[in-house]
Amino acid sequence: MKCEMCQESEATVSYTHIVENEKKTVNLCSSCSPQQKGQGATKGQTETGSPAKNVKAGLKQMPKAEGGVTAQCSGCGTTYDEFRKSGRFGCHLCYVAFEDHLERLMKRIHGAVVHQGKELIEQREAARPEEDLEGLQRDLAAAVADEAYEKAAALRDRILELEAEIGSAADE
Amino acid sequence: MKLSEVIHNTACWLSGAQDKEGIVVSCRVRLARNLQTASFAPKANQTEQEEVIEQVLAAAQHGRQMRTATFFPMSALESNERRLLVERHLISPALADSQGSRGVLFNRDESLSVMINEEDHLRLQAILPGLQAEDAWHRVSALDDELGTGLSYAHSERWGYLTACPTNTGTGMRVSILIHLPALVLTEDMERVLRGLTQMAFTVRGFYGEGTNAAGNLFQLSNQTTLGRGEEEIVCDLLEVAGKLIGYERDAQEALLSDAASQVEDKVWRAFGLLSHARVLSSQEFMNLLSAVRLGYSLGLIKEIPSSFMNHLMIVTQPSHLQADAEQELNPEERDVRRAALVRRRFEELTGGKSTAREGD
Repeated sequence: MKCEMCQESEATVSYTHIVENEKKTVNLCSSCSPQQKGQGATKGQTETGSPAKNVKAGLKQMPKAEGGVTAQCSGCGTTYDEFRKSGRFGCHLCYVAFEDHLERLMKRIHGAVVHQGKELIEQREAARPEEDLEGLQRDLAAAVADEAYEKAAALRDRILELEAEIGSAADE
Repeated sequence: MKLSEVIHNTACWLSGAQDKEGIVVSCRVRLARNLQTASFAPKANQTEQEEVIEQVLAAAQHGRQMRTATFFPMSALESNERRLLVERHLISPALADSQGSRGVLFNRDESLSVMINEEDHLRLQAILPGLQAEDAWHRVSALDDELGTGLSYAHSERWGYLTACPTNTGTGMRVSILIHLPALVLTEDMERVLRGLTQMAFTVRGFYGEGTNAAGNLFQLSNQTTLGRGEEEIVCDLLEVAGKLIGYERDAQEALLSDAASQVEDKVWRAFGLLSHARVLSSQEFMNLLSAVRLGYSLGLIKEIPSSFMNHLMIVTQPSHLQADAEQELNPEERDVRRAALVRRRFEELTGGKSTAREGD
């Protein structure tokens, strides 16, 4: 079989891609095959539809800058157009600058538009003093085991304070 | 720890613990995190990059888990040393190829690592042997909490952790399971399985991640999406799918053994013989032969070769490890000779020179 890229050399590698539920096989010779430098032929290499492809498709769907969209990030200066081309945010403020256009993109990539996982440690501790208490008790045990008595004393004081807080909250 | 010591280190994830008869090599969980104080890594200038490194190292010093970890700045490493870290799964090929102030911090047993200034300011990783994805998640999450105490992470209530690439936004988490599926490949059921997995939003890649082929029938199964589901749910879903894959693989192994016992045994022992005696072994051939021996181990045909031995061999026969061991650059032909010699020596050590199959084994 001839290589499907150059149509000259004999095909030695067969790539199987599965993209959106459709199987595609491409037969290439060793010089047209990007992954085969210095290696022998392999059968049945497989790669599935990657998130990167979803990003490209999602970015394509985003409205072009000419349509009056001239957003630019105040933090790093990345323009909306740059983001659309590179698919990379320049800093955390880009998420604010391009917010209006992110919902569709995120939906395309993740099938969801709201975070459901872990919060920042400060947020978790503020929300749940009981868990903070457990963490402090673990730290205290570790500090005692390490014979770090000054640290242990500070942790003990903080635990007493927190227990008092939780106790008074329960009384209310 | 010096880099020259690292090559003689046995990483914890290669131990073969909880590996379901050699089917699951390891589990890895990585978290992408960024700081509010600097542009994201692709856009950051030298000063910003250096500040990020400084802040992350300071935060690591204050925590328990990475206090004694070693930091390797990329700029201080030769190209072969960088490749060595890629081969050990401590850094990505992208970090190895990059310029600028970047680096990696990892602990002694290589179970925890932090890449600094890769695509994101931090890429935290926990990697453990066998099917221990939940433990890997707990470990990396604990490290995340430690570092997060001293750093101001880029985070929003709506989008979760903010990452350079929108494919990582949310949890910033990628959990992956390195799984050996020789019987599914042999029985040509793998394509059907892959098709099903993609539909369920899982990605399957080769041993060294994106763009690598499935050398030695090793596949990396990982989650595709990071937004909209909690970390524990993602881990749980992946474990469920891994459980199914293990089941399919076991069924396929049993089918092979009942349909073609002699051929399978022959394949396994031929591979054993070649590995014990070959004088020239390309990386590809080695991985394929090792896969056959691992299949023999899964089927209970070969008992004298533990999976920890095979896992370790898989890393030390990689090109940069061979070069580091030889303390010189080697061309591919020279590497193939050294690879064969190393494998032969290790097999001899393991079997006490009796590397021949006996009747009834």
